[in-house]
Amino acid sequence: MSNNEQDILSQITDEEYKYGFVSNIDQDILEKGLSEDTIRFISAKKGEPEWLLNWRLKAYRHWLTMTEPRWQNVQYPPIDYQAISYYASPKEGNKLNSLDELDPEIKATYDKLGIPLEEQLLLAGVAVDAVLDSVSVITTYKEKLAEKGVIFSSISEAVHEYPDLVKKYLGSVVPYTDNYFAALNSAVFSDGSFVFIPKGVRCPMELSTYFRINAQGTGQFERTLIVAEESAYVSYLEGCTAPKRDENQLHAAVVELVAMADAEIKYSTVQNWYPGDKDGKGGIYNFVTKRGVCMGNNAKISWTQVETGSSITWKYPSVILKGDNSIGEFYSVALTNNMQQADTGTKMIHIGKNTKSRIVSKGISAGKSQNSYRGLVKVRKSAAGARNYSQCDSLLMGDKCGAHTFPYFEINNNSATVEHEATTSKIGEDILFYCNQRGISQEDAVALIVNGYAKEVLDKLPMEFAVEARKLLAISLEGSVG
Amino acid sequence: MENVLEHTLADRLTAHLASLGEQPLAAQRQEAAAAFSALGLPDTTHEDWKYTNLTDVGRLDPLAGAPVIDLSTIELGPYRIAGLDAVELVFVNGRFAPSLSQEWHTGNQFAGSLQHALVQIPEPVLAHLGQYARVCEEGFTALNTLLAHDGFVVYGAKNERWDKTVVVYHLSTGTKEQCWTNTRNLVVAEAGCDVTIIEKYISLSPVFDNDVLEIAVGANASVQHYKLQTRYGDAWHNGTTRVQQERDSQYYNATISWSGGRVRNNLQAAHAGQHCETNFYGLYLLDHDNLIDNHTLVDHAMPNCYSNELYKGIVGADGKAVFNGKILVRPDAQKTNAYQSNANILLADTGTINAKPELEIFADDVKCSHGATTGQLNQDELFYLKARGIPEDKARTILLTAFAGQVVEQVRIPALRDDLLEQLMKELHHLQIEF
Repeated sequence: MSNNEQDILSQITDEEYKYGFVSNIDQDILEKGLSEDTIRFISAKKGEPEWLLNWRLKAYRHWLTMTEPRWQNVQYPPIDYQAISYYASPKEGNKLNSLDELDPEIKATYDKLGIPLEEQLLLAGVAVDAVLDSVSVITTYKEKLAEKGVIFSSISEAVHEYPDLVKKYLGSVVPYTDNYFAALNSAVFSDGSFVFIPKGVRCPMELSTYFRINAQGTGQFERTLIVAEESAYVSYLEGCTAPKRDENQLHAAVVELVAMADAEIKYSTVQNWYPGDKDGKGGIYNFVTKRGVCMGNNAKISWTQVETGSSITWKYPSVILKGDNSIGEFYSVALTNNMQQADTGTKMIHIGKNTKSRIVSKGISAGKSQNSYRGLVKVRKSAAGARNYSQCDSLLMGDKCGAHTFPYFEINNNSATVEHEATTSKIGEDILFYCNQRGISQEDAVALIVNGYAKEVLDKLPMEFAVEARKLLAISLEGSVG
Repeated sequence: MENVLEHTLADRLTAHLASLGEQPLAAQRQEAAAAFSALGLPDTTHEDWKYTNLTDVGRLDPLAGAPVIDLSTIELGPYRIAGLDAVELVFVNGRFAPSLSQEWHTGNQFAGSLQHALVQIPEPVLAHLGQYARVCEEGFTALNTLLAHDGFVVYGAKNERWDKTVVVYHLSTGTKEQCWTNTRNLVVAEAGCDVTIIEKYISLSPVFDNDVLEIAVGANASVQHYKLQTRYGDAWHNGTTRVQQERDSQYYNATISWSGGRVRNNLQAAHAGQHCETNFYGLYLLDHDNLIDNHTLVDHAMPNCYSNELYKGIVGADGKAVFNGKILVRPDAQKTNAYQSNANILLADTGTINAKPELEIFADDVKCSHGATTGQLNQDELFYLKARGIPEDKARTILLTAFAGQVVEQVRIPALRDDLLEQLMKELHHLQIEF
């Protein structure tokens, strides 16, 4: 066994949720409650132009007419939307020019999270946009990216600096009418990342956003918008953590991706929001709408996600394959332990000719958790020669957990080929015995097997993330083996 | 608007119920009336009815029933399966046709109408009827319980082995005003009993059949059940089959649907004891504006059970096929082995396939898998045959026969298998011409 795996296993025994600290930062927190005034306040605070305020208000008014969906395979008590504060930011929201000006507490927060905010960590080669509660704190490597014409900034800055671009694409993939949480997000979103890769540019480094919920009684509603022009390429990573609290906090984000002809967007998520304690107390409700559209021919969008956190994960990163020959991919590992619930999967909408999609979903349930895969593959009449392959496997660890698969296929074209496979099983006793026989303890063997099981997906992550994700898998399973 | 209509319907149903007076099923019907007024008929906002639009059915009046037919005009000959030693039961528009049937009643075996069974073998009938198809589950089941006049009953006492196959013909024919039939059926196989049933659905004119069949399979018993909708014309069918299996029992079902119609089959088997075996096979061929919707559920409530499911479909121009198969493994149903497979071929780009193979699993020591595919004929295979001088249309027929044949091969009665293969060839030829 390599040292790396040794590390993972030693951490199994002594780690719990290690990102559960609270940072003592001076914060502006808006009073709880939601009304048109809340939205006007957020908009004014950010000095937003009139059109954006109007868009938010339209979204809010539409949201009021909607009812909360109930079809999902997760259970939670009703959310009181008036008991949430919709805006929290570190004080002195002045723009920062260098890292020295950053509040040392905030810097310490991100240091604890192991995020390379420091420029000297150049070797890591990752440009970071850090979002704390509602606002983007700092974006690194801006100049270096600007040389190539890449725009990587917080969305509130982008509204001022590139209003035309934001206006053109905001809500173009996920309109505010799309669903309940997307409407809520459109009304109250506070910040997020904006990425624009101009024609023919290959983004020279991985772009990354770290999301952190710090304040109590707040919800986080960020919005990410990534536009890749013709023949552009970008790889984008997001990571999420939150402090341990007894209350449930709502995280309702929207991510929109637009890939023009020949462009490629690779979007990776390592989601590690606080999952609640062993009895299911506290934790984040992660209700997110993620969708990408392959506008042009030969475009490609790839979602990779490792979901280990959140008390409830409920999201379906989707791809609309509009351009001919475009490709959509979805790779997912969703791990639930204790009382966690997950209902996640993807939607692949084939519209263009010869479009291809591939879905690989690996669910792992332990403790008393419930883990569902729900996915839709839709082949429209126009999508001649469309091709889909889906595989969703579930691994059950313990006799109190559940694993569920709900794949939907709607096929309207006879030249389409759609294949789906799913299996559910526990770790084979013969495999465990094989390991035991060679002197590998039960717990080590389980970690080894789980990592092997998820390898197909982990391999799709950028390298630094893959290591982190493997550790996360092992930590999240701690105490479930036996 | 719709609510008002349903409300008046519920009122009329209550009135209808009162007019029936005292009878053995009065309590069940009472319960059904209450359930229906709460449930109504499902629509497409209902997850289970997402792909099947019932607007046409909603316009029909269930209380109008179906006309009474002169039995002398009916000729069974063309529908018979050659070379089969059978007990034949015929139901026309949900009413028993004694002149066309041979009721069978020995000491320990009964095959006949529900009305007769209630008189001759009331005990097992009343013990099982209404126990598995619950009225609170769906409006259609409630309506059936409320309105069904008759149906078939097959009963085998302990350790009875049936030498004869029971063949049930459901003939239906409607008029514009009267086109709703309800048939309520029951099969009881007590411990160690072994029985085979073939149901044939034949529609002579547009009609809506709303049928419920409950099957109780006792310990160590074995029930083989074929449901054939192979001459179904222009009719609507909603069939609910609920199977309850005791320990070590076997239930085998083959549902074969072609030659028209808009068909919805709800097939569910639940395990009430350990070491049960359940096999579901299905084949559907359709084109034009036909719809075939198969919903299946295997409810693994007990440990050490096995289930296997294979459904295949060929969809031509303007046909719409729906497959929703679910494997449910309840907590503590350890050592479950459950497999499900669904394969579809789309012949034309105006056909539609909506598949939803589901797994819901609450126990860890299980082996469950499902697979679903949709595609066209394999071009390599076609080329291989053509390269050997086989013309395109013949090559296609060969490949389609092989594809559909996998299900027909699972038919365990040789005479029926031959009959189905012959019909299959005709049916494929028909689909090919359309293509």
